Amino acid sequence: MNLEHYQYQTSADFTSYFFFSEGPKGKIRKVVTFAEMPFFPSTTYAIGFGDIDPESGIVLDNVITNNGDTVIVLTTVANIVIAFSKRYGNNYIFAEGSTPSRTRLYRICISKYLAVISRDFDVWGYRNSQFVVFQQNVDYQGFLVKRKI
Amino acid sequence: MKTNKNVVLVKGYTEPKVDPTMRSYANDPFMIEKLKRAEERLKNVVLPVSK
Repeated sequence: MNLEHYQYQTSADFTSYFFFSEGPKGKIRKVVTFAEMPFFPSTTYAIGFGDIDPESGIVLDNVITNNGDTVIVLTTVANIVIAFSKRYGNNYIFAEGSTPSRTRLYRICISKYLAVISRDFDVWGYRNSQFVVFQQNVDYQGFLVKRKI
Repeated sequence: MKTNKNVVLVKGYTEPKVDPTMRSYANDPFMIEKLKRAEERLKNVVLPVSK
């Protein structure tokens, strides 16, 4: 994925990744983390994403940062998904926004870069209680990706 | 690679560097809550098959 993104670091177990967003609201530390969804029959991870509160250290996954770098941030997340898949295998990764508007934002970004994303990943959307092949301009309640072998 | 103020922007895939000072957040409350919400909706949903 040859789009500009932030440089990121990982925790020692490669389940959490960190980077700084920089923009009008300042320098904000972000975390992207993965956790297994044990109720699926095939190995599937949920991806979580948020800002680390500098005072409490708590992850805030429902804040609107408005730091003017949405595309760079989401491109960084996409690269992190690749890094995680290289370490943990080509398993399913499920993503949904913490709010409907954030899920919509993810859908718009996936639609915009679908051609690029599809080079590396199969992409499905969750709609009407099933996963279907992702199509542009269709609303979904969540997303599933799997890195192509 | 270029620097945007203090933040490094890169193009193309690069392997992440391990920061031994950073812990995993996989078991933090926001992830536990996310998994709980997802299980309620998805536990009986069939996963798709790659082409």
